[in-house]
Amino acid sequence: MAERIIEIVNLNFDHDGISVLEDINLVIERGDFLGIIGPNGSGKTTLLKIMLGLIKPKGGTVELFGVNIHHFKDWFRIGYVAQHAINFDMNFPLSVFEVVSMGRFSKKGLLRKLDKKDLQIIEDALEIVGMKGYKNKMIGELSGGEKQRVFIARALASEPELLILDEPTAGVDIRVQKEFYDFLERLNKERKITLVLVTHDIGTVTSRVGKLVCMNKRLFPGCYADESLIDVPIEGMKLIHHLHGE
Amino acid sequence: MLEILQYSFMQRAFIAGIMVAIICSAIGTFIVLKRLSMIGDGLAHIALGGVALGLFFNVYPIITALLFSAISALGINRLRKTKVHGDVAIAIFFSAGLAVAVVLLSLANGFNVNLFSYLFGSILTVNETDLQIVMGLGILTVGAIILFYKEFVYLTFDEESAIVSGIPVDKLNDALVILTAITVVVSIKIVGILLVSSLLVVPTAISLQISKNFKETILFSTVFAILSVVTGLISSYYFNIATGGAIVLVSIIFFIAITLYKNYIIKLKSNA
Repeated sequence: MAERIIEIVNLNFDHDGISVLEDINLVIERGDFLGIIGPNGSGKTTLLKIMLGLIKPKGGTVELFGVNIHHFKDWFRIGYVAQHAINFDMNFPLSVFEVVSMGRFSKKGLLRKLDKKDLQIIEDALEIVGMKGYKNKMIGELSGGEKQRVFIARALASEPELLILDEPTAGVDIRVQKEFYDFLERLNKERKITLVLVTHDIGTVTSRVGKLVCMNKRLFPGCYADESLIDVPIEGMKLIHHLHGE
Repeated sequence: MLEILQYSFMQRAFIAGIMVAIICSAIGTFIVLKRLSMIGDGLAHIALGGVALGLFFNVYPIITALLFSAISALGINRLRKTKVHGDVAIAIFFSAGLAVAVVLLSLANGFNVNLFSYLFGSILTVNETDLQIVMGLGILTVGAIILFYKEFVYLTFDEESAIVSGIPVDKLNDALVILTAITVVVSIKIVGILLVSSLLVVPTAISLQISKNFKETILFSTVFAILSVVTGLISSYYFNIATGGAIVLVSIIFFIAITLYKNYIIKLKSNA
């Protein structure tokens, strides 16, 4: 059995008494390409933020790489691309290179400067996402799809074993989305990076991920099987019959 | 030109002024980009309460101002994390500081001249003790920025990702506001409480129009701050005008010139 990278048992979370997550059980194994889909407000982002240690779980246990999240320290093993990562101040004075170099900070620790090896890893990360030629450009000058790649390069620069992406294709056009999923598949297959992708868009994602769970406060694993996909006459689109348990 | 450097009070003014320009522009870059431009003004008015306290109890006012604004800076950070918005948090501390100053002022029947020098700055009366404090705290601030540069840049741009990377964002945010408090208090002697925030904000505002990355932003901001202080000092000497005001006016002239150049001249050229 593959190593368990994330194990969530009986997780509950409420916000001011309103239940957000109920009885979540989820195992993510090394090499998985997991899609989590669900409507807006279904608790997807909350679940991710708990996995990332941004929010403390209120009931149940969360283990990252076999370590209880309360004691987990190796945050560099997890790369994260936030929802709306690309919606920042357009005039923020940062070059593409400076943004990607932030990915090395978690590994370096405080008070230590980036060395030659770090610079090489940053260059490599830019190369992987195909943005090497843009390294001296100001981040605000890039298009939505290009910014998204830069943020993924930043996440890759920490050499993560797990990459978590929250609505990565929001605001990116369909053609770029296709390339983007091709790119994620290569990361997963060639670089053996475990991927967790959260989206409310069930269009492309269902045909690209290895495992899929649907979410609406609770998880509904097995809501997806190949045979439940219905072909529709739009390229790259499939219709999926699924329930959110309502 | 060099004759003004013959006077030791002018030498001290130049040294203190340049140090203040360096720390204001460096800290200002982070503050402006974190959208906390008003914190400088807030902390300066809080410092006024501290200065009044010092004058009232006959303690060196810079010390009380430093304590007052550092503690308030941490308070502002705490309040920002609750449901109180950043600008409201600043406004509350701002008015509290000012209220303390006014009450103490009425109790003491006015310290007039002395308090006046803190309000408007008195760079030409910088003495050896002042200079030592400016240099000591200035070096401390520059050192802290160099040491934590990469972390400060990260949390200024993207706090959430910085947390996920394991960077101690809360502690560094506290450090940044304390450094801001130090910078503000150190600068009071130079430009005065009423004008401190312009030295924090204007050089960065100029620099942001022409820089393409973070390093450039800090560098250009420092260059414009130093130019403003030096030009302001020289003109205040020759034209016999208030130094703080002269420094800030020079920086505003730079701002207008660069803004016009950037937004009109370049566009006109590209249209032609």
